[in-house]
Amino acid sequence: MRKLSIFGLVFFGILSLTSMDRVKAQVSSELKTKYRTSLDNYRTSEDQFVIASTQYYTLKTLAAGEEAVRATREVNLSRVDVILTYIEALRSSMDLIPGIELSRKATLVQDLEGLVNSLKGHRARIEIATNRILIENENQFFEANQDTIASICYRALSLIKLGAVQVAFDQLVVTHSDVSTYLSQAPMSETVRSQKQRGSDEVSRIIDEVKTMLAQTLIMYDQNLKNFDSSAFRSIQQSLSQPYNKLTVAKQFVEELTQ
Amino acid sequence: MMVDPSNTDQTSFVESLDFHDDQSSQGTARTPPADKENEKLTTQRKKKTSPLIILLILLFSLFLTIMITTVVFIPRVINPQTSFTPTPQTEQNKSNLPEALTKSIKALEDSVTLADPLTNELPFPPVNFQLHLQ
Repeated sequence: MRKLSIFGLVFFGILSLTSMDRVKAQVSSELKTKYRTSLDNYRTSEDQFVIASTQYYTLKTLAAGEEAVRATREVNLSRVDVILTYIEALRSSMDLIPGIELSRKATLVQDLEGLVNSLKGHRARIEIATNRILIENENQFFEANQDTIASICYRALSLIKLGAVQVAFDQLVVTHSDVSTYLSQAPMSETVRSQKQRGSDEVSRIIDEVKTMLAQTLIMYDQNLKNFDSSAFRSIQQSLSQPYNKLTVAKQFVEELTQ
Repeated sequence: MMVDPSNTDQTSFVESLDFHDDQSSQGTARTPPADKENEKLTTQRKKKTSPLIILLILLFSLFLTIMITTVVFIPRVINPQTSFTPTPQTEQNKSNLPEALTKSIKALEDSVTLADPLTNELPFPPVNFQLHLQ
């Protein structure tokens, strides 16, 4: 009876975890759609802003000025919405990937929350801004925060990429262990066994190499923390390409070992 | 010059005949230069191969090249496909694997596919940070 209850607990635990993952995946997909929609809205309002501001500069009338302020408010709102939705999608992706190193993730989450609060304040100020001066103040605020916004977002993207490779690496370690256990119990000739052993040793070597490469990429991430821009993110991507290629080869080796 | 039909001597008969060289030296029945040029042109035209024949030769050589390429390269293209086709023995081995191991291998495949660092589903938003109304 006790064994049955333990089995039931484990079963429902796994079931709830699986369903939680499904829900998370669905949420992430919905957020991506929401992000794309907000980006489309921004593009439309940016076009309207360009028309309204050009008319204002040409005509210099009060009516044209009013229209330009309205268009600027709209484009500012849709622009900040794009960034807020994007951050939300990044947070969701980060939650979906269990391979992200926890202390770095915690620091980043804190920075993301700070940024979201700052942007929400900016949004609230835009909503009540009725004249050109107030709107222009918010334009300047957003421009001044450009580097901070980009830095935090690129850090999140880098951790997501690092986490994904880490997940693949962890799975390789688990699968390699499973394959080794299976091979040790499977009936086969000594020649085939030694052949399989050599293959397994090759996978072990790849595991060691990938571990070192991932550690180096994490060091690179830490070194770029002060000025994390798009080029730093590209460097992380390039740095991860090598361990990723190794993982692809190791996956192939593991599959061959079981044949 | 008149030829005597009663003369059966071949040597004197031949000598009595007027040849072109004699005519040209006398200048009585000379071919006009324009006719000569025309003759030359016609012989040149005959010598020149017509464009239709050139086209046919080109088409034929193209056909030959395609045939040779097909014969040389097709086996090379087909071979890898056939070599990658798993043998029934391999399929049988895969199906004999324990379920947990099959799941583990599948999880590895999925995680490696998702780990490609060069793909980015969420690129940084292309928004303009320098919007101003002055």
